[in-house]
Amino acid sequence: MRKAALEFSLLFCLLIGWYILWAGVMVARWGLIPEDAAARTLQAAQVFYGRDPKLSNLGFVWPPMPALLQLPLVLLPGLWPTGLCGAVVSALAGALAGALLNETARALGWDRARYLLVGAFALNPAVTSVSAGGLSEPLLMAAALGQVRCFLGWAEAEARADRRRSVGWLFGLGLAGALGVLTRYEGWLLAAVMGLMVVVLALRRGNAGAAEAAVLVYGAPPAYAAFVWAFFNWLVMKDPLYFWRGPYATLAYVLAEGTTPNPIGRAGAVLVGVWQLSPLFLPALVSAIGLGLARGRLPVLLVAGYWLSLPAFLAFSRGLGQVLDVQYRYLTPLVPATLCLVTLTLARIPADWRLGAGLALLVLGPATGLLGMWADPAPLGNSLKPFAEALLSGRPVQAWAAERELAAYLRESGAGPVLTDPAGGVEMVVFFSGQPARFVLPADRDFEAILENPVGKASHVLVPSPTGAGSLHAINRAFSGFYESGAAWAVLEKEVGPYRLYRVLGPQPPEGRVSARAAGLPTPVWVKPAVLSLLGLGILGLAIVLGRRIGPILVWSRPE
Amino acid sequence: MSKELDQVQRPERRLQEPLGQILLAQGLITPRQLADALDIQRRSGDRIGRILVSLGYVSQLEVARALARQFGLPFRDLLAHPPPAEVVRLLDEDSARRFRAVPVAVDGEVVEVTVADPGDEAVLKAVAGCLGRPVRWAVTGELDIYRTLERVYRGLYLDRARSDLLLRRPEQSAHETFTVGQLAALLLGLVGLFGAVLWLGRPVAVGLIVLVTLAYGIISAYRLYLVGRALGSTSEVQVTPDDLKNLDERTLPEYTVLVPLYRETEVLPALLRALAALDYPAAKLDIKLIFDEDDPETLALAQKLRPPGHFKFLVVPAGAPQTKPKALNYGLIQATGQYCVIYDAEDIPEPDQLKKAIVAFRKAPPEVICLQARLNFYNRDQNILTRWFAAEYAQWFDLTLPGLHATGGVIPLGGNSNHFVTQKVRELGAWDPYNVTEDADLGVRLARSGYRTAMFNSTTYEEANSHPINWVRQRTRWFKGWMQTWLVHMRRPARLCSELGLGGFLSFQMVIGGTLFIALVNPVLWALITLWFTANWEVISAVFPGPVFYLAALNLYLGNFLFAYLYALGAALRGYHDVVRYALLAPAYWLLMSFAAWRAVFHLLFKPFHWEKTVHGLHLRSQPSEKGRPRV
Repeated sequence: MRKAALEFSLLFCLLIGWYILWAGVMVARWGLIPEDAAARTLQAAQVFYGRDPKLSNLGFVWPPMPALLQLPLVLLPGLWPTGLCGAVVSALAGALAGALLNETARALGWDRARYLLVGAFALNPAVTSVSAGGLSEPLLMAAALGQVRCFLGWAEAEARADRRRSVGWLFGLGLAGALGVLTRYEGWLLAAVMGLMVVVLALRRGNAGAAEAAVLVYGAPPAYAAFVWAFFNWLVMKDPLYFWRGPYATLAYVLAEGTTPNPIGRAGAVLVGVWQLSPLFLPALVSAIGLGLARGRLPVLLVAGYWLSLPAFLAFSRGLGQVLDVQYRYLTPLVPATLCLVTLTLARIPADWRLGAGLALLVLGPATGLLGMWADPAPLGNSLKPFAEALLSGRPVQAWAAERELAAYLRESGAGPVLTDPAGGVEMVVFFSGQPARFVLPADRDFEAILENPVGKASHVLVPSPTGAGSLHAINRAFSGFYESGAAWAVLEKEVGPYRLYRVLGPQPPEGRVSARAAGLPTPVWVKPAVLSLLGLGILGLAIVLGRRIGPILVWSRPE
Repeated sequence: MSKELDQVQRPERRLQEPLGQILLAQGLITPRQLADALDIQRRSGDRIGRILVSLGYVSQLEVARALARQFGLPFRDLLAHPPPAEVVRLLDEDSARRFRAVPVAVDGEVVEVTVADPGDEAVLKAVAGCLGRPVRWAVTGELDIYRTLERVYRGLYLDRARSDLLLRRPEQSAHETFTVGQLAALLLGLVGLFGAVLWLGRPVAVGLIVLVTLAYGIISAYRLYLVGRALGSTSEVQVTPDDLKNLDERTLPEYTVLVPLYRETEVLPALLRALAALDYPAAKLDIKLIFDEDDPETLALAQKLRPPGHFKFLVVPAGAPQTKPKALNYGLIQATGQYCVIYDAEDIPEPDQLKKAIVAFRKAPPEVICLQARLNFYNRDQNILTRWFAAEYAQWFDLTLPGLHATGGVIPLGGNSNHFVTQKVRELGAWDPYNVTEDADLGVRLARSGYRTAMFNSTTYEEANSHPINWVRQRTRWFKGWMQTWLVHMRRPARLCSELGLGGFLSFQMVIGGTLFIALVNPVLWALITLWFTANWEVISAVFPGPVFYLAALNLYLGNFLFAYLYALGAALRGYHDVVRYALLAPAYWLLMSFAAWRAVFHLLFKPFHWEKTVHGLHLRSQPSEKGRPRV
């Protein structure tokens, strides 16, 4: 029992170290900061350091969990503009996902060969890239693997008529579902699919009343999480579905970017992406389904369906062209999904075979993953490619040159307030400036008023090229043709890459408030050590608690 | 045989036939009845006379007469010919009760002592030793002995029942609601707070909100932690069917069952059936039905129902405080069992609960002197209030208390189904008659003395309060009692902390204090949020600056959900599938709870010892439902 707990904790800590190490390489050596990661960190930073600091600066485009988890980290002076705040959160999530994969394999009877599976997970460059890069996929992976682990535990507890364990696993299942819902929109799908799985299995095992109770106990946390998210959308933006149909919603991005006319081709691109990122996913899926059908093992069949739902949904939504944009990295959870399916399929084969399979996965998985990231055959946005290129070439990438240059210019010139909008890549300029208080952004309460008449209220207007996502930028929407020719009240001061900085003519705004806040809030000396200590203690505590709580359960539930 | 006993008249069996045969020969029992009793005797090792009485085949007096005949001793009917009190007092009360012996007459130097069991040489020796005089033996019924003792020592029993704890440990009695220091601190605190708000305004109000918000968050997190511990480990003493199967009934000790009854005519028949169904050798059961002097109806009904011979009736003399703990103390003084348990009038314990408790006591470490069974309801589907109540109980007894057990926290006992080591509970001063939740208070005192309470896997079903007014009255009393308990034990916080340890102290604050705090504070916070949404008062925004607002919002959105969800988890854990959906609507139930909490504050100030009687049997007045009701 203690061994299991210790193993969980050690593995968790080891993987955190691994991903943090890679985060350092990505940021310090390669200068690689994914745009979505920076955007989430910027949102968290704006809560404290924005021109109008408040929690709703987290925004309503993406589910809030990744940014929420960064809130304590952005308090560390100077950390957040490096991009490491997001990396810490994603590293924690990636480590949790790896440890959960290990525990799932252990619960299914895998001996030491399971470490090879964890190795195949940790070494996969796509997983490493998102886990070290501050992206939200690792949180989704952790939520999904947590759900699968809890579902299998629940199924076993139900089979043994152990009500206490059963409720405990359902509780964990619900929490994992809520985490997924608050992390990414795919989490909503996975939570719903899991709800169906619970109903199916509960109906198979018990009566309708028991199924209803099970689905309520499971479903309450994710459903409540979705409700709270919609409620806050209504509370702040006066529209409960603002995240879905607001001007910055993912749907707006899809429409702004435009789609190819062939829906089947669009959906097919997702399947190509699956093949490219994790070639073993489909064989493992087919094997699990075959095993489930042949042996009548309903939980295996349901878990296969659970993992299948993710690429199916992404293919469907891309095919439809009006739901979600699909990036290549969205498929990253299929790497642990493949390994999870392998653990299910090969759980009862001889140990030697398992060892062989583990070795094959350890070698082939990362290699094919790297090749897929680099070769880029699927017509999907591939933000993982720079990582693969840097890894293969060993050369720094130093992305975001234009944004860095513009941010440096703004910092040095002391411009502000700068009226702009994070859409269209501007968020990277704000991020690299390290001074969000210098900018008037849509989350600020006086944004609309300043946008209506910037004269005397803003010193500059920063606008991106009105193409693609840039067309969603508030300035481009408010002043047609502004990017090209400015306005009577604004003259072009600087152009870097796709961005143009216009200086507002007329009386200049009072600078006192701007300059005082532009450098960020003064932070007391004790904040840094306190937050670092809390962070360390938190990680340690989390490792111990998870180890203590999950370890004994898993030892208990391991088949004899 | 000892020298002392040899000096006095030594009872010798005149007849060689066993007692059963004598009774058979007298035609008092049938061969079949004797065979039944002998069968039980083989399993339990009890005296045949007690078995026959417990089976209701013969009366105690008939057994006593037969014993007298067997030993060639005179028989005395102590009810028909009550001995003088001064003679009875020749033997001290404790010895008389322990040895079931009463002096009835003095003849020069010789004392005539009646005993219930003249064949127990150890008892005879001990009684003779206590008296230090020549003894002449006679026989009487066990019940006659107890009734004689109650007649003679009634005043003493009453004094002990109401003031034993007060005299022995006055600092632990709720006789005084607030100490002078507490009152001064409370008044100064309130005046200071009021003054500070007036003088400094917003910063004080913000500080207060910060404290309330932090406390709310910490209590919520602690509850979640307890639930995690309850679900993540075996957090109670588990008694398996095999344990019960392997239990040798001959090793079972005598068990006292204390049942205080006050105006309970509606549920009394069901109670007697439930107690009669207890799977425990009846001859080793000492069931005490404790009546109040000013409630002759319940006593009359009990007499009319004629329960078996091991049911004993006690009548508590009238007088303040008229509370359940006083009745329990009165019964405990006369308890003869090595272990004792409390049941309420409407209780239906699982039949094997006493045996499970014995096994659990044997499995538990020696510092465990109290076992708490789970409680739940047999009428949970009566209406939405009973469903919420059932969910709340499931959350409390199946999640929170097992969590406290697992973490070594202080377990506030539930009102019934607490099993004790009798001697230990006596040493602790028994129940505080001035505390209206004497159970919770005893749980804390027990922990302060270094003992522990453990949960075990048995359930007592009781009646969920189905009427809102009746529910509020009951809950008001519970909250008032918890307030008394908190005040009593917080008279010397440092001492409490040193006795419970820091963990126990914090657990006490978060469970006893935290439950009260949340119930009292909820309506205030809800009112503020409602005003903020509807009127958008600036003053509300002003006292909730940024981070405080975020934490308060977290409490509001996450904390309230969490507590409702715990109800659902508890219901699911108990297997009350039909209750889960109602559990998620629990916030409406909390409105009632908060109302009761504020009413309790009023009662604490103006009627601290008033025991608001909960009316039982409401489920019988409406359409009774058998769903969920255990078979008895």
